[in-house]
Amino acid sequence: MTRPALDEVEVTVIGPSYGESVLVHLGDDHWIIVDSVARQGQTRPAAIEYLHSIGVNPQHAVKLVVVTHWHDDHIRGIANTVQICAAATVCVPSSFTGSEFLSFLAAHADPLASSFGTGVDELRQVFETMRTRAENRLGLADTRLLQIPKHAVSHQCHVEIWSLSPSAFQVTESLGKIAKLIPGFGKTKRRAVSTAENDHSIALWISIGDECILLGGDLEETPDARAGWSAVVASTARPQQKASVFKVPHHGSETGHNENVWTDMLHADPQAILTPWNRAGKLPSPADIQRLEARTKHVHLTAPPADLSRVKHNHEVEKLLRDFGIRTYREPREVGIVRARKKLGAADWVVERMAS
Amino acid sequence: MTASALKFSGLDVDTDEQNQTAVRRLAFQELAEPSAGTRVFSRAAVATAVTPRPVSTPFAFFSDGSSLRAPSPIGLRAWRAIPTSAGKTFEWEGLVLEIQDASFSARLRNIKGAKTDYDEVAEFDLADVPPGDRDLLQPGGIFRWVVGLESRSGTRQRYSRIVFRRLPAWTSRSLKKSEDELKALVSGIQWIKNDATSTG
Repeated sequence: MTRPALDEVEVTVIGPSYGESVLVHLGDDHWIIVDSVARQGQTRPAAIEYLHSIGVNPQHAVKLVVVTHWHDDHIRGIANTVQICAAATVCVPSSFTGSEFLSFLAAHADPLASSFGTGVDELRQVFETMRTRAENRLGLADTRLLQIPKHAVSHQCHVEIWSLSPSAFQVTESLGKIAKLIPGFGKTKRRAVSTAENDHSIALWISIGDECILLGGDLEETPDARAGWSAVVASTARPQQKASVFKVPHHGSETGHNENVWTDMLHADPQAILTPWNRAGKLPSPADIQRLEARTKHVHLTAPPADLSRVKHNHEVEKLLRDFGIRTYREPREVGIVRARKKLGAADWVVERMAS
Repeated sequence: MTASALKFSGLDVDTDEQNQTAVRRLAFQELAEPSAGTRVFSRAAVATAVTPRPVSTPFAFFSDGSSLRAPSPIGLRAWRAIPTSAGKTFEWEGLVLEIQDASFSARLRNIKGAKTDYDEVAEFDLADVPPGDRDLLQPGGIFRWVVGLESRSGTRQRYSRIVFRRLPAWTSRSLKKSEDELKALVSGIQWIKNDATSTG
């Protein structure tokens, strides 16, 4: 695989059947990484593997690492990513510094003598690495996270990255929900499992000259217009251009959909890229795909939904499990990747689906 | 009858002092008495009987020094006990991910037998969880899942057991200590002041 040209924008979405990570090439070998996923059974982040595979050194090339929210499928390997990308500014949602969130993390920080760890080890390590960095960012609505002036890049296009969410209202709401998950005294310890909702996820806006990209994270719509996509669309403080690439939020679910995003923030027929989520209540559903295809001709899924493979144990185990009607599944070894590249000034994106 | 004379389903049991006490105290499920001095019991009953059980706190004391104790949870203990294997056993550590109406999903990591070097995902019926463990069935709950073969009265039977780990409870002191440490860690992070000037 080859690296993109200095004046070529790239959006690479990595999504096996569970988990998601996005890389964006801003030009001149400047990269950002959003969230992290690791190949099944490995700790090395897939985004780092990808950069190495195209001959990019993440230690110097990655300028920004964004943790959109704390959900297992977005943070697998994030501590490693942050550590490897030594030159990167690190951005976390502003809810991460809320007292309730920290209390929740702290409650689950004690080792449990389990191979599954505590569930909060990754985030704690991220905080430890952030402490050694001079530049860290809190993701909040209408916040510019990074800018590269046009005279600093060979393609002569001004680069900006904005966080579009969460709104201050969302942060307060999310912390209220997290407070309910803080365990009480006397309760049996258990591992932290990210069950909180996605309404405090960071959504990102990236502009490279006139070329814009909208990365939806896992941001969902909420009944209250002060939060979710309604708040993003209604904001007058965000960049008001239109994007031609859309990382569809929350695995294409109905709850991540806001019609005004398609009309107000995206060009007609954008490249819509999404990752599946194969757990109970699989995403995207056939209805989700249908809804997306009604809005753009260019829908790209990194891996098929419902792509968990049945585990084939040896005969003895299979016989036992069959008797009890239990089947076990595993995530595929392959990591699904959709890569979109476009030379600045060119008419079309070149999109390809790969597996690594 | 002495404990050393006991014979269980064709299997001689070399009981130690603790188990002799357990044997004497418990009402075994007696299956037959084929010859004088030798009694035959079901393997399941023996598994229950010889498992060291916690002694409950006395709730009444008498002048002769004796006391009344709450009965030990024999049924629960037997249910939680992983039977002695008569063949291979396969064991996974499980992590509860989500709980649905009649089932729960879990991530599994093999720790014995099956030789898988990756995580597996499975769904279990809620009914598979022992009644005494139901309070532990929550997202984040950690359990052992064991499948294998056991002998009951000389008959080999397959079994599947889910046993939740009863981890120590959260205490106010440990929570406070962890919280203080984490808040100190985060307060040491240098944040760049947010810049919200749009150029778009």
